[in-house]
Amino acid sequence: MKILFLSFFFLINCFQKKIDFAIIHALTGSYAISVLPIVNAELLAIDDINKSGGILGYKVNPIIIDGKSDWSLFKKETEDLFQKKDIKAVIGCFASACRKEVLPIYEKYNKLLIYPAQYEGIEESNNILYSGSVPNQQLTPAIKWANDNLGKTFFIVSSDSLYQRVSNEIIKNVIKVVDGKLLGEEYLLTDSTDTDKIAEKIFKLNPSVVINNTIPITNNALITSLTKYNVLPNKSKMLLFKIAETEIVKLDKKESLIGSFAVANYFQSLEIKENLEFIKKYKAKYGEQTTISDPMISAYSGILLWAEAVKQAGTFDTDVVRKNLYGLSLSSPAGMYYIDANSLNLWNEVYIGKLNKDLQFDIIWKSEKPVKPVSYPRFKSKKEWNDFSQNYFKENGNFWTRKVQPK
Amino acid sequence: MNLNKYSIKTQLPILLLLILSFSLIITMLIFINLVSNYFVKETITNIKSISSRQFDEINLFLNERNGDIYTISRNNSIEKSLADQKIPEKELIDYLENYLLIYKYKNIYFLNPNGKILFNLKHKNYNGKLLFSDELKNSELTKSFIESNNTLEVAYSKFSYFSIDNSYYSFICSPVFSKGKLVGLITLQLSSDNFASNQNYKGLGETGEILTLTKADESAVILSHIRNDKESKTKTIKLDEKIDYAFYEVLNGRNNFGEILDYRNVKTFSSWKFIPEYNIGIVVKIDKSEALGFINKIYLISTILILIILGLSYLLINFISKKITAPIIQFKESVKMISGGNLNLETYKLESNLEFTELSSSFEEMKNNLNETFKNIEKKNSEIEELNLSLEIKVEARTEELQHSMEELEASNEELEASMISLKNAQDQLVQTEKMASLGNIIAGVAHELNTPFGAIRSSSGNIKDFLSSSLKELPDFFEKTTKEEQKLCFSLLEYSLTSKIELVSEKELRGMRKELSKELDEWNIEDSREVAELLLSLGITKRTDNLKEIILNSNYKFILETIYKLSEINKNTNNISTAVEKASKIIFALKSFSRFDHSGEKIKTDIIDNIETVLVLYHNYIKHGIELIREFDIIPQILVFPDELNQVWTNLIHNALQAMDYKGKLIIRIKNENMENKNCILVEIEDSGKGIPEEIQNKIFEPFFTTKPQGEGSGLGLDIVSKILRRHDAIIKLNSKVGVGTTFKIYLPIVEKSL
Repeated sequence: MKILFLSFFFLINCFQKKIDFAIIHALTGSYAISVLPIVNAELLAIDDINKSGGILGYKVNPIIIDGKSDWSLFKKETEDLFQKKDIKAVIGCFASACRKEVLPIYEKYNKLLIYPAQYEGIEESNNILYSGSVPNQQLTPAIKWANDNLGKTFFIVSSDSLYQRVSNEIIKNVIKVVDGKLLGEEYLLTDSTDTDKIAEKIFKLNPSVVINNTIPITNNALITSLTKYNVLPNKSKMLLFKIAETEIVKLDKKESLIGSFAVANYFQSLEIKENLEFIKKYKAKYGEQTTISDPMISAYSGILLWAEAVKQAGTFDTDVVRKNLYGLSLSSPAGMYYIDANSLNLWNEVYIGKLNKDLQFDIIWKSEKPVKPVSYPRFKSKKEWNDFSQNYFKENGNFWTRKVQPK
Repeated sequence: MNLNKYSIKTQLPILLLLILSFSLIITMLIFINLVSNYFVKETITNIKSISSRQFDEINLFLNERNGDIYTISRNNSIEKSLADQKIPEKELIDYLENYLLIYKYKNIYFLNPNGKILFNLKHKNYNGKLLFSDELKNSELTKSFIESNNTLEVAYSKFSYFSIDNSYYSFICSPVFSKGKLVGLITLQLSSDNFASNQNYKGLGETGEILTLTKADESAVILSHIRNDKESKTKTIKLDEKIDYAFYEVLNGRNNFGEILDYRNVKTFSSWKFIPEYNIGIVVKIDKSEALGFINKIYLISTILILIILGLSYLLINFISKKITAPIIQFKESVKMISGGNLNLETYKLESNLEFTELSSSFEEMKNNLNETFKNIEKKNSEIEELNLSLEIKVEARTEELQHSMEELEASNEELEASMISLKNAQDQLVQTEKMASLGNIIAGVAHELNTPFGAIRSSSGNIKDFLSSSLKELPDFFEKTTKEEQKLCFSLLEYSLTSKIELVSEKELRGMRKELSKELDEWNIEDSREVAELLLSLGITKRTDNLKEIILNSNYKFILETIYKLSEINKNTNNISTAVEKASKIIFALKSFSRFDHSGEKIKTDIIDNIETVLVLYHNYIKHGIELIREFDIIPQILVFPDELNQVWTNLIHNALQAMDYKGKLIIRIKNENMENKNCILVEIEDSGKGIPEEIQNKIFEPFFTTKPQGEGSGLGLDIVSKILRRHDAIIKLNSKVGVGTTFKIYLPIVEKSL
């Protein structure tokens, strides 16, 4: 009987019409370490949708494309895809530099990109559903909290890319607003391992808070150096922005990070019903040993939000779907999500966690309720922010990521 | 339920009613289901669009408030006032008073980053108090401060009961920066009255509501005007998904729609949306009973209609079933009785519809027939016995009768034979008559023909008589005046003249001969040589001979020559008579052979040419005047025929031909050997140049009694007889005729040389 039922179900699946949904991520290259678990979460979301009967009677067929951590390749692949296939929506990119590169393609073809990472704001595209967070949902409360609770001296270690540049600018403003003190800042190229000098400098400056705004691949060397120079685990407290549970477990000196703090809109340790269910489901699919982090939930929820909007729209048409995205709500593993009524940003809960021995974060602070996204932080006017972003682009020879160490 | 135990009278109406009501109810249910499905969909779409509209309105309102706080948080005087941590000056207070009035805020709070109330407009006794004091620490005022202070962005509190002002309020808090540093925060107090204003219930009927609600201590607080409960301005309802699912859902931040039980425990169609800024939910709903009220009306009307239809149907069905069953029952009774053997019962007249009337009358007929048949069978049985008895007698009588009729038959047979004979006689007679008719024709010709030889005989005999009377007297003188030698000479001359054929010589030749002869005689010195030459020529002597000289030299040569001439004349006339008699006898022979008609005769070998010539002789009279007769005769064998009969054939055909030409024209008779149908035949063609026979009557001319001749002239049997005769000879007759050109009869006589 069960076999009959299953084969019937299988048959229905076989005959069900399909729509193409693209996943374009850096499956190889410097970003792969962060991105691979995200793709898993995305595939789980598509699985969930298909298991519940698909969208508007269509089964979602994921088309996975490797951007190889090369933003120009992303752009080319995306345009090729739109020309060759009827893609209903795309989830992809994990860096703002990448997003900036492909955005014109989405606007040209009027397609929707679900961008699952936190980003710097300073952008209001109708073609991107930002399912990550904006600075006021992570950076600002984290610095304010650190200033109030960890100490008033800060040091910034950062990768050199658009997100980091903008977010560091915000961080610096926040430090100033809250009367903190920035002792110094250092930038690392994507693949740089030259971290000892920075560690030495931090050791000398002895800030109460080291703000780590580097991308995961650079982290291994950095954490190793900071451990070597005894900054970690005890001398300074580290505040992590761009690194999450999934990446921490892969570090050589991960123990050094125990006791460090991170700000996120999701921690695996979050004890709400939706999260417990999700963890169970995820581990059932990908194994007990897997860890889950913030951008995975953003990616997972982003797809579900899009699917819900399509259902309400009754069509895959981008314009109609967009209208239905505004004001949409979702009980996500991270808590309630709302898409803003005026932009395609999410209302997020903000959590600050402290890394415990199990390499999981104990949540030590959370926002009262989901925080409204603000694309342009109030420290500067809209124009000033846009100029800031464009200047960085021009300084870098029309790149959103710095490739060569400036002299 | 076993219906079979009931009578057909009971079963029929029940079954029909059941079928009818079943189909009616099914139809009604399907119809109502379709209609209500459609209207449920329509209603939900409507409710959803109204909730979207409401969401947009609130959002617009929210954006305006965003603008308000943005503007006021950047107000230089406020920045300065906060930076200095001083009570605002009079001028700023006036501005703020007006601001609250215009933008409909309840109050405004100036807060320092540590949470101390520096200033507020309405409750001066709170100035200087800390937000974290026991009285205020759980208020939304404090919460909005914390959030704004943490995120350094505008923060909205939810609508909540604020004890100081004894009503529901939301607080909008914004950080205020001065020279890049946080100098304080400013909070606007927004009254829920903004949502309690009269709603536009268009499209929501009488029971529809647009509710704005917020969550307070696990309760839903309805901030807006409650249409269904005008008494209470603000209503608090325990937040439980079983009490009002929409409230529960929306205040847990979820958007959706559906058919739910609302706070009044009434079924509604609801749509709900959450607005995260104020933590408020919008619920738009309409009572199901109203939205689908007319469905109930349709139900009611349909039910009443169905009942009426069923009632009427019952009466009708009852009537019909009675009409159907009554005769059946009656019929059944009749059949029952008949099956019981009672065939003589009173018959029923079934006064019902046509079929039953027919059935009953048929049945009645059948019954009567049956009855009759039974009676007949009995009657027949006794009759059969009687018949058996009388059968023998009858058979005898019949035998006798048969014999009698046999005799009669014989007699009539004889009669028939007799009449056949008489008929045959009549036919013969008729044929004879026809023969007589042609005979008449022939006889007329024959009589004419005979006249000629008889005339010749008469004149010749007269000549002879004259000669005899004159010559006989001179005979003794002759013998006296002549010597014996001269007499001998004279008789030899006579003999010579009798054998000479001078008659056939023309007058011119004769004259030539006379001239020559007289010349010759002149040599003999005869005085009247011309006269002598004349005499000699009449005797048939054309040349002088030696013995002639002796006579002429006789002194009495004239007398001698005259006597010889006279004697030769007698001889000539005698010869003439003999010729005429021969001719007459020939005609008579022809007539004789024609008139003989011998049936019993056998076929005789006959020359067909002779046979035809016989007829031609008879018609010689007609032919010689105006008819050009052409004979084209091949040499043919003699064949076995009935010559007399054939004579008749030729007579008929030649006679017809002559008549057709009106005795003027060309008659061609051809006789040749011909092969016809693989038989050697003699073909006799008789062609005339007469008026011809019209095509339409060509096939009729051989029929008996057909004639083209005037009434009484012909019997119409001529060609019939011809064809009969030819049939006896196995001959074939063919006709070729063209009007205005002529007619050809072709007779193919098979060559039969030996009798079988």
